[in-house]
Amino acid sequence: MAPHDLRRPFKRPAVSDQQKRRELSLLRQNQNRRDAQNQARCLASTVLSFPNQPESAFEPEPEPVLEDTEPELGPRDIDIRQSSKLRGPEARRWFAKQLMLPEWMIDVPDRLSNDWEDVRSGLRITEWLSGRGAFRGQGTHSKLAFLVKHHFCTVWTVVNLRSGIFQVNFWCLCKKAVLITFFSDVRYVCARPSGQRCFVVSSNGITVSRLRNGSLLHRFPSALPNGSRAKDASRSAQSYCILDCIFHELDQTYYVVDMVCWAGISFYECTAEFRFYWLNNKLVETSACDGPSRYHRYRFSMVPMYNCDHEGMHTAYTGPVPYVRDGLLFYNKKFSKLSLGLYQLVIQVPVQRTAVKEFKVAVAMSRLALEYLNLHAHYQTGNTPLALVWKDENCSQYVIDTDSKGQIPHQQQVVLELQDDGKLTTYDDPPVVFGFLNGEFIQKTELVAGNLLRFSVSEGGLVFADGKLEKADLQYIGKVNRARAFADSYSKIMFQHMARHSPLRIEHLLASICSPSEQENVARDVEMLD
Amino acid sequence: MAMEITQILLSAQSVDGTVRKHAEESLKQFQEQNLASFLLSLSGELANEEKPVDSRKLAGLILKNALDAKEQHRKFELVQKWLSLDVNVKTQIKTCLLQTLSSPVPDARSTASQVIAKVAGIEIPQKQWPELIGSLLSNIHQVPVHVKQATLETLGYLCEEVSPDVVDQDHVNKILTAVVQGMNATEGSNDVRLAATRALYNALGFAQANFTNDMERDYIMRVVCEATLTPEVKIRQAAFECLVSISSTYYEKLAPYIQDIFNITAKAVREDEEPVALQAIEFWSSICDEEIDILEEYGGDFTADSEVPCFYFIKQALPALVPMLLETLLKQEEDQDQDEGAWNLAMAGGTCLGLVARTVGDDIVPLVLPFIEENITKPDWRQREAATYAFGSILEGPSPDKLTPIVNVALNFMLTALTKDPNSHVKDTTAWTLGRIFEFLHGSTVETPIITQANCQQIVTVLLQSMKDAPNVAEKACGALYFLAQGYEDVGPSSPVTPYFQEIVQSLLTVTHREDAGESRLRTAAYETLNEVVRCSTDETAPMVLQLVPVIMMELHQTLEAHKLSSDEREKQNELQGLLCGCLQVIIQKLGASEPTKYVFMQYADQIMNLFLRVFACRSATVHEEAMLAIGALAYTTGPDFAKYMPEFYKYLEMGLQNFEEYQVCAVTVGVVGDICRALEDKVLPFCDGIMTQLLKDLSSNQLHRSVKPPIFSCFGDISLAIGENFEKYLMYAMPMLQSAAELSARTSGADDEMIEYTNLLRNGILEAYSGIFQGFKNSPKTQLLIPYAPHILQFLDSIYMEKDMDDVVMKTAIGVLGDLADTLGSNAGSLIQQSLSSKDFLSECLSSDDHLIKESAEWAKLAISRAISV
Repeated sequence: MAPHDLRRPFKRPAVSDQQKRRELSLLRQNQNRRDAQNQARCLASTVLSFPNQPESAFEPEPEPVLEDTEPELGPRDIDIRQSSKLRGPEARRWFAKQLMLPEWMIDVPDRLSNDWEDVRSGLRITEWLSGRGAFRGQGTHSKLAFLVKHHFCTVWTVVNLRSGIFQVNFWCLCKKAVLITFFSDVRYVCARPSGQRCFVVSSNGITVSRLRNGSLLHRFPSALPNGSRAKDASRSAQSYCILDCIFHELDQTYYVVDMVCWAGISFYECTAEFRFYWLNNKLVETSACDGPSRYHRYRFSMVPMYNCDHEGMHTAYTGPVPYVRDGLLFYNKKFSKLSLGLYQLVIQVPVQRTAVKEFKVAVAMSRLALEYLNLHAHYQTGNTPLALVWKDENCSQYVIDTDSKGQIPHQQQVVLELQDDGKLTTYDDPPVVFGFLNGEFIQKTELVAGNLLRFSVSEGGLVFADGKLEKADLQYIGKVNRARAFADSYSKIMFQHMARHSPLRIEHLLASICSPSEQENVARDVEMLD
Repeated sequence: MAMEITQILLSAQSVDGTVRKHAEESLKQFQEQNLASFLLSLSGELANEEKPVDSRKLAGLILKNALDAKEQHRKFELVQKWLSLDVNVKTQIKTCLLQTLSSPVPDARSTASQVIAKVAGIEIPQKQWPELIGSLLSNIHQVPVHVKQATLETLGYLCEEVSPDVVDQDHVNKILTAVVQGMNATEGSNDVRLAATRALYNALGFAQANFTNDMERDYIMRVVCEATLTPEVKIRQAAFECLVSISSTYYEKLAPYIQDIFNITAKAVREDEEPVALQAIEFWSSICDEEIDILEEYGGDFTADSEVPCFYFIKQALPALVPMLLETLLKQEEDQDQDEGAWNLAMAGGTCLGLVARTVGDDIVPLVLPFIEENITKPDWRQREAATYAFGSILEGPSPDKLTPIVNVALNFMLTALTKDPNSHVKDTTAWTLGRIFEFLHGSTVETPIITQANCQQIVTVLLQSMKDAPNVAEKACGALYFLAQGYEDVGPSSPVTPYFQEIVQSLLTVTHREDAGESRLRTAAYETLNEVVRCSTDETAPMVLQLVPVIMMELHQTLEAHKLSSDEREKQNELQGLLCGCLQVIIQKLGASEPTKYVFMQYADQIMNLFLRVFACRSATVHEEAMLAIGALAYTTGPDFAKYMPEFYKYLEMGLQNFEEYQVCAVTVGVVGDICRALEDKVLPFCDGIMTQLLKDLSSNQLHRSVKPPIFSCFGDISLAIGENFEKYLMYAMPMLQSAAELSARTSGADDEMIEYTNLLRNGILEAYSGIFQGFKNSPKTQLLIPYAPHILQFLDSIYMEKDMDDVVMKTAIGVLGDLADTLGSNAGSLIQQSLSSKDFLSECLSSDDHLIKESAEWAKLAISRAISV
């Protein structure tokens, strides 16, 4: 038994820097975990307590600023869990992202009215999957092979419906672009009310509306669930609502154009078809469509939706509406705004027991498909949005953007974001580059990356080659008002450019709604498998 | 085999490598093929007086190693193997071992006593080998001195191996009696007395009952004190070791003896040989440790009942103790500052003086001040150094009010000494003292600042100048700068260091490039200081921190260019990469904390990540902990964009999670998984199969250090929160694990403080997992999958509430889980929740908590429950 070592630390700090780094990391991780948990905990209550923006943000702006009668954001993936990062500019950004904002229609989408049709391969999915019509007798295996080949299918669950017949729930995992192209053309159309786009939240006995930059519009009692302190009002479980509205000044009405949450249930992942069905019923049920009263200061109203066929489009375009019209809004009927990078779709098909083995093969193959998708995670979506807005002078006072005095500037103006490498980009994901500022100019004007800058489109205009922007002749005007949160989107700029030069007309839209005979033609092009 | 084992054992010690290797392999083969016969041969060899001593010794050693190992799981395996051996084999082996204790060969006896202790360590807790202690004690009365000595040594080892609770008090009494008798002055043999004294050191833990008996205690103390006065130095040293052990184990019993002990220790410090004197000083350091702990527990609130009262031994001994310690300071060794392993009287005395200052506070200052004043200007460097060291030692403990006036006077002198003193030893201690001044008397909490507008520049200049001095001095100067920077940590938008920032950073980088930066851990100190300077920098200097990014990246890049390194060079490269990754981690965290700097920093993210990946690639089997830590910071800063690095990074993440041996690496990697989950959210999904598999393996491993397990549970929560209902497929694996861990952690009765602390960490991990899972499934159509788990989870909450030993963190997490459960399951769990104790007593206790975090979580739970119930 040797003597015991009794040396103590000599002229040394008790804790090493490495230990300190470990502990600081741990501290940060714990803090972040707590933040993440708190975020997940309360959405609606934090939405209400979010500090108000100064009212001055809405006062007439000193510099000439184009009036944004339209939100110019592309749709963004929404995640409720991020909702309570409610601090400063970040908060405003979040609110802005919560609205499912339409892209501008700059191309006529193929076949605005067709149901369940794959434009590319000309395959009618409903018939195909159920083995009806032209697809009678096709083997299940070949169908699966097709889906796997196109990277978007797996069989997730097999449910025994009754003896010998199984229901297979297909979970299609694929990029949004593929999926939307595949099922792109189920649409609704409506006449868009003119007014301020906002986000209405009812919770905890009060209703609050906020503009897309996060600033407060109204704070009022409403008949929405938990929207007022009225005794008879429902204050039950998770009673909060988040609606996407346009506030129409003239009749002091909130026109509901979409719904995010109703009574605490998230509708992010539901199809537009379902959202509108639900909204219609619920708004009436809660008396939110009634006129103003003590516990209900503003009327809510649904915007009439039509199927996007000749008749529907015509009604939306010219039919009587109780509000000032500002363009048409198109919705994709069957698709939801999913927050996942991979998109799922459940299709149920009854099959024979013998086919189950084949599904297992498909499961294995779907793994490959998944890997493929992960490898190509940066593949971009392009212009296949879930909602599109279009307008012309017949259905809107504001086809071409005006400045704050209501004048149409001589040249088109655009707002772009300065990147750290001097590039000028749009608010898109990924951003589209419109130009470039050299370092000298940036230094001279003391601009920094992230600044939003206003330009006018000069004589050279926007030049295209093969459908891609090749050149933009831009003239620098100045920085934008600080209330602006985002640059213009590509589609907004393009729409404005076309509105000035070669506008997309209603005839183009109507012409795109194809006739039944055309559909027959398409069906003949089916890629035959097996 | 028995014939040839002697030869194999001798060959295994051959100078010829090939012979040795061959022999080692034969032994290993033998062990694997037939353990019983292998162990029998070894014990036979050890007991055989006709065999050479070298083969006997090695036989004993191998036998010992077949019974015990450092790693817990290996140890467990070996114990199981021994227990499953045939009883007759074991009896034979044990007989051989006991027989060897009587061998005339000392090495054989000594080896046998260690092996006996190992066997006892396994068998006594199993109530086997009951006759061992009796037969050892009967040896004590045998005449031959060497048998007595070996038996006492065996008792000593036995007390080290066996826990006191498995030995009955009767045996304890007999062991202690035998040992103390062996120590007695009447014992004629020094060997026996030494063995007995060393045995007592281990047996002290068994003497709880005996120390409560005045007579027995008096007797033990008298014998120990007498042993400190024997002519044999080894016995004196061992006796002082016993006193040191008694000072911490039986602090509350010391009052009657403290005066005598002071006299004994003072004499030893002044007159005895260094190993003895060092133990004597250690006695007082150990008393300081005890009193600091007790006073800390008092926490200034003297009405609180502390388990152990403070006897203020140090305060009472102060007038005599301090002069004794000051004397030791003058006994420095010439080159102690260059010798890493040095530990001498001056070092021990100064260290003890520092502890005394922490124990008594202000009272020490007037006792030390005259010594400083008298010696600090003397021509003999020993006096100047001793005075400076005394000053530096008392800077922690006394109040700033007491110290600040003195420091204000001394500061200038110190700065001059640091540049002008001819002796490097003095400069070393001076720089260290300046560091201590900045550590304890500079910062936002100190009312009167030591560093002012007027002297800041001078201080910085002197420290930067010193960083060019000898490595040991430069290292202390870096340390001083570290604390200078730290003091300005929360100074606000403008720091007094700003004007010198660039120069400081440049000087530190220059230091890291010094040829001799490998000495006195100078390079490490320079990087650590750079890290602190960056950590405490303000927005004003953010552009300069940004400029540092490419510089450090270049340095890291250069370490990657070196190829074909020797193992020594590889180790150095590894260490340097660690420092650079650490520095980048700090920079990333700093720049990532504010939007504008983060934005600019992001341009480097790809390159930095690439460097980290190359650092990983440098090694084949393990991952670099520092690089892993830095990657966590990077993931947090880059957010969702981190996804693009995952395909390449993933394998290292997995490797880190597999590192059972270096559990810190595993723990850090688990933390990084959390960072990645929060950064990537659902994009982490493709990697979750692999991560979850690894985490589940980690949890079921008995090799992995237990401290990593709670964070792994928390990590389940992080994953679920990130991937939401996709966690579904892991539920069937994760939930049972959580459930069994929960059951284990619900019961704590009889656990010690350390165990309760661990249990609370475990509970917190489990609860964070539940929180994450509930929150992840919220608003999902698959919520119903969680319903079957709800009763157990509520039961778990109830049971930890009933145990009444959870800490605040667990309380907060637990009540939050209740809220998450109610929120996610809603009316499905309404009646279950209403039946639970947690929703009533526990909730109302939390609602009235003073801790606002607990209260906040409780408010959440209340809201969620009222919703769930009202539907």
